[in-house]
Amino acid sequence: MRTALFRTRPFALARPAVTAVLLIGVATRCTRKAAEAEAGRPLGLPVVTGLQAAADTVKPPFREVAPGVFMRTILRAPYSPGLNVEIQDLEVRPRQLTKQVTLAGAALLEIRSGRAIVTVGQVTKEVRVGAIFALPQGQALVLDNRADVPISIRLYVVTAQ
Amino acid sequence: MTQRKKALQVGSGLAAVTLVASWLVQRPSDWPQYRYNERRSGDQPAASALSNPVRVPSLAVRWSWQPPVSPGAFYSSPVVYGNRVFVGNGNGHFYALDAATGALAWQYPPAGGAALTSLYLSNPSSYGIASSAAIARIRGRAAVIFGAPDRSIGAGLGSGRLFALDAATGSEIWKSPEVARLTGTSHGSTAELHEQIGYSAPLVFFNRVYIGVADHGDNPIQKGRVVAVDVATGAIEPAFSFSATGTRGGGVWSSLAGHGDGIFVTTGNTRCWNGGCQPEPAPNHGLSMLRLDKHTGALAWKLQPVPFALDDDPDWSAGAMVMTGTCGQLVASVQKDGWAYAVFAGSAAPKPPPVRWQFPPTGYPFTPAPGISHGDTHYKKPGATWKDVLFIVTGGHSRPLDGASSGYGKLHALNACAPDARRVRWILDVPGATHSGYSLGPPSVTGGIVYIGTDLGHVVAIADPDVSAPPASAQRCENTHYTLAQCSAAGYHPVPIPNVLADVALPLGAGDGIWTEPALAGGRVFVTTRGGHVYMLSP
Repeated sequence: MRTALFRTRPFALARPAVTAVLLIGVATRCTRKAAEAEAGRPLGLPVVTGLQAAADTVKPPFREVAPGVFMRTILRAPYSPGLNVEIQDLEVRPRQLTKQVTLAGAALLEIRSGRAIVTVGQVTKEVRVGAIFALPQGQALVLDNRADVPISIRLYVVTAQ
Repeated sequence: MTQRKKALQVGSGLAAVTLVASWLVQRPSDWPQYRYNERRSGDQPAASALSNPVRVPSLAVRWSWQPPVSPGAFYSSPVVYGNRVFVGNGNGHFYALDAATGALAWQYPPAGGAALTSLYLSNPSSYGIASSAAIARIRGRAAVIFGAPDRSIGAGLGSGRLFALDAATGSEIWKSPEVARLTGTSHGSTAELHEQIGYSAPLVFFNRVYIGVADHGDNPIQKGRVVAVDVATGAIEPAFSFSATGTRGGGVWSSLAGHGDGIFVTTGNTRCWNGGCQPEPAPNHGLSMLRLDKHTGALAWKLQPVPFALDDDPDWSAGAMVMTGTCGQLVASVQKDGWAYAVFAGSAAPKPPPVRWQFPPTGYPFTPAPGISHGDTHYKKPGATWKDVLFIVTGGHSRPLDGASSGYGKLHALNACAPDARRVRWILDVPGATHSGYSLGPPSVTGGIVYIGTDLGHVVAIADPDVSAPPASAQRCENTHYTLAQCSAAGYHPVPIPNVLADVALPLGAGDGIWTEPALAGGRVFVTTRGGHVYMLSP
């Protein structure tokens, strides 16, 4: 338990973009009104006055790119002359076998949560939290999440400008 | 079974009852120790206005009090026994107040006496008395026990010891020998001992008092230990011994829990400190949740999800708590990196930790991953339990992708006995908080209504949906980075946003706030603040 030194491992490249996205998220968050919270109360419980409801914030948004497969882009930035780097998040719902996924460039994939059977070309293996593997440009990927919880993957994709 | 065996069993039972009665002091409406009881449940079972959702919205401040001389911060929580509030302050004095009026009953040391302070200051816990108290019965008298630095022992710098005072008068019953050794004040010195009791609150359990020993802000880390003393005399029990490591590290910052034959302990970091690092010690029981034998300190099981190589200071600052769920006795806590765990309490027989669940359920032990850090990221407060529900601040489902701050300011209610897919019961962004790392104190609960203090000085009362159902429209996705519309398709579940029954802003000055737990006793809420105030609220 230190207070004088505070050490974490931030991903420095992602910070400005993440901050911007977070600000957008805060600015657009949905706030529920107390009046709404009073509506629709089931019978049989005490009536309580003075309710306040919490904000429901989502940042940054995911989009469903295939059934049970969700993606979002955290950062898109120049990497070196002629190349961009994109940081993306990919989640696959439980009990979901994906179709072949081809990314826009070569990528590193880092399993942040869960486990799944991954097939890249002719190679199939089980990956779990902490696993990192490379995906060559143009190579298709299939994920088979046989667990009861989603799998979360961070992708570092290098693409041509 | 023979008559003789039956008589022996009855005799043993009576002896056990007598033994228990000698230390157990707990009336339902009191809050006689940190987290209410020796299991650290944080659950006040006695019904009162605080458990009545109709009355809670009228919660308001009834009195406040500040130490009359040199008020320091309150990093210890109040305990309540027999219409008295007991609490230690950062100024090195321990106070007893009238629970109804806030009037000072007595203080220790008495006016003019040397304050209980350390000459080595390296962490908020270094200042005065950070250890919350516990009530015990000693030779027929109600006693209040706490840990504090004392310059009258050891090297005269403020080594830690335990004090037992008469709860009625504040007179000394006993003072333990030196428990935590401070032999120098050079920051970062590895030649000196910089032990302290700090935040650890005494566990009064059967005929012993157990206390954790940590360090002063990792300057440098010390060998974490658990020390037991005799509740009647304060003498150190030589039969009990536990050290977290063979060299240094594994500080016991938290308050121990007791249940059955077990003492449940959480420990701190081992790899590096302010100014140095070391090879992995042997043994290494740091960054762990542990079950120890209450008689000897022998290790029964150890959960160590973050291996030594990934130790970037994700202490278990939150202590372990024992909850009795429909699925069994679970020991639960959250690590500073935001992951919470529940382990079956098990028995004294050594074996691998029987883990019930991890939340978020990423899998463990962790392996090196550049994007997931296990650092000092402020998930430091223990949870509270009610029925099968664990109320606790964790990183949540979005922790693996959104980072350590994803759960700041969010109170999770977790279904402790449900499968992983139904772990989350509800989530609330607690109002009146900055939503930074230190934004919420430990929650307390009574009758399904959760009370929690915030860094902006709010006392917030939240109703579990079983007590006060929110409208059907008050829902969010259990993974906070999905909208409600996406939630089910992504494999998660919508969960309710619970009703906030009361949100009382204490009249605090700038920079003041609440780090400590609300003590719920006799229909009143007692909280302490960093600015040095004690408040009593009631409906």
